[in-house]
Amino acid sequence: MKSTRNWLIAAAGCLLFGCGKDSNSGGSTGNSTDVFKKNMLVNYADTLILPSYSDLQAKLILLETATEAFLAAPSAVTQQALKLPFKNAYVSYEGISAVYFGPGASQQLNNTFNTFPTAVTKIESGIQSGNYNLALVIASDSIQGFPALDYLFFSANAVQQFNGATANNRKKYVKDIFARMKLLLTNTQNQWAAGYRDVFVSNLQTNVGSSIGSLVNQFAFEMDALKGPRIGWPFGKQSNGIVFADKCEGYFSAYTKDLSIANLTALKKYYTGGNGNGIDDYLILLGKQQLNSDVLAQFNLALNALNAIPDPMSAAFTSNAALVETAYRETQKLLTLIKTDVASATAVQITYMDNDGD
Amino acid sequence: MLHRKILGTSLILGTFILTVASCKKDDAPATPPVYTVPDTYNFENVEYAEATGSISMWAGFTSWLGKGTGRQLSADSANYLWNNTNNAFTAETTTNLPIVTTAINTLGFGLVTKVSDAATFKQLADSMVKVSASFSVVAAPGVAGKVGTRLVNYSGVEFNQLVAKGLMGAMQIAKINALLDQCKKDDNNTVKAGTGTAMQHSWDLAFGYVGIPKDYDSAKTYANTEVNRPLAIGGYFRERGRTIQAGGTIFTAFRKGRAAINAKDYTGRDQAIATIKETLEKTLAAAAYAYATLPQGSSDLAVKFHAYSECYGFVLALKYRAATSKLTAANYQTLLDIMKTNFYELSADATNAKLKQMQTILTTTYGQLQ
Repeated sequence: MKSTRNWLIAAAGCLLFGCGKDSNSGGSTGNSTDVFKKNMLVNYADTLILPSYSDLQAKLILLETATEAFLAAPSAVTQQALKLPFKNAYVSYEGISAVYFGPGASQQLNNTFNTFPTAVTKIESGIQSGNYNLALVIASDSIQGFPALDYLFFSANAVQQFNGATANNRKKYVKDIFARMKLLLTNTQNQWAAGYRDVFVSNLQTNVGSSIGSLVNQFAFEMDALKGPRIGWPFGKQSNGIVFADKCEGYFSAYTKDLSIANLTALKKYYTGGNGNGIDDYLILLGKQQLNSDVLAQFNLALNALNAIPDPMSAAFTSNAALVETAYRETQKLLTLIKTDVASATAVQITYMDNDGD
Repeated sequence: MLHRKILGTSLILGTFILTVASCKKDDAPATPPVYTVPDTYNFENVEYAEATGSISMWAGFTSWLGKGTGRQLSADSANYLWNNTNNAFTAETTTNLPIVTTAINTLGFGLVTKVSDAATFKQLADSMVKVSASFSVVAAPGVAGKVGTRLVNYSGVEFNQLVAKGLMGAMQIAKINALLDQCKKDDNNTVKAGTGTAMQHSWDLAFGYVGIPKDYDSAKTYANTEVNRPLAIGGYFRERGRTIQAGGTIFTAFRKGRAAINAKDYTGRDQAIATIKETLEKTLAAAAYAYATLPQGSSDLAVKFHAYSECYGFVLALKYRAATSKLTAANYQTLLDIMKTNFYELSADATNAKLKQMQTILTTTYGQLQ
């Protein structure tokens, strides 16, 4: 947040309130705001999004190396050596989870990398029969990506299984998962490099499919996911309080808490734009200082509440329900701020969910 | 040439009066006709049971097709429903409609006789029936089945959307435009008890095919339990036609036009016809635009495929636009060709180039739609 932009606030205020219809239809609102938006989007692309993809690519390669050692000699020792690279890669994934638009969405990246809970039965039957197709975008529900690795590497009898009757098929399955993840990630990076970055930084509107529209939608979507599948659902928020601990993210490796904190931390970074211009500065430019400080404060409240939950979170759902409840409520408040207040302040329509009645 | 002046300010609440004053003394009536336009469709001798029946069948049939997401649909049932034979309509899909199930079953006619290109739309419905065999399969490129809650064919198409939205053109707009053209040729002197003059009757039938209640309120959100609620394209006036103020414009034009016919003010009638045709078509365009836009903001294939399918349906409906349409044949073909793209391919384009091309064609042709 830079103070040199105060004059812009006034200018933008006049422009925005002078032509309210334009902001509804996603029209650009004048030169000074356009310059700001362009800088902000360049910051998003070059210092947040593209480096995050590179980071994930690097962490995946480290994980793959550790995996090769594990597959060559499956033991408790090589399994232990997998844990940190697995955590690092999964945490790194949380850093791109919020970029699920453009190339990432066209590759169905999140769908492939992190649909949970793990479909254990489907995975086992696929390994048994050798009959599975990870390329089927929709069928990829939860038989691949990190949730599948989480199960394959860290379920109770994982090491035993990799030495058992299905060992060869199992090893091939793991390798296929890696091949698929690397392919889609590389495709995504290539598409960004091959032109989408320029499309992204040049689209200064806020309508559906615009860069700012996509960013704000994904903030809200990630918050919905944190409140729902990551915390709320396993915690029993959709099942009358009946806890489904094994449905949480990273259940087998017990990294649930780290992942949710990584997710929210990444989201906060996307919100603030890191050290450069972000949506926070954009809100200030729009004269929404109060909203911005509310959002930032709520990010911290939610992060603190998540931090207060003891590991493993899957156990805390029952043993420390009050702490989880607090975290759930704080994320819900943050969701409301982003999904309604930030979205309307930035004139972004929330479009990620299917709200069509027919 | 006639000069019209509207006295009164509120279009929604108040009743207003049209005064028609003459500019040219030679061919204008000596005393200008003064008539009242009521704020509801409240005229003498209004009868459009055929239209109400057709709209109710549309609702029952398309709702039945939607059941394909949960069970295999029977090809026989599809035939019976389409032809309206064998008491095909059941309470499962015909509750809360303007007429009750038994009345639908005894209408004596089926959608088959009320739809343009009926064979084409029956084929689309039959395709949905066929795809419903895969309701428990997970869809994939080349494999019919479910994407989330949506049942799609091998390329991601929800056929029931093509039928439901397509018929808004092939039945509703085709019928309305034909009836409005017909009424210009109809007699307007001999009043038949119950149905009025031939011209009044054509006009009323056209109004019936819009699918809105006589006391339609364009600002109201109707519950889907209300029997007299807007249906089919009538329901889309609010859902996707608010920016272009479709509902209020069309309802007002129908009331003005009927009042004009009663007063034998044919200039007024023809102005209303032009407004109705243009706004109905624009509603289809606005809906197509919305569904070309919405999926660009989603990464969920279920959301995308559903939106593409709705968009495809509205593009099919646009085929039945009036001859005076601003949409050229070449641009229409482009829209259609884009919708024929495999939906998996369409969704894999990060830049949404084809959808943006559609948006451009639609806004260039019709102006701001959203």
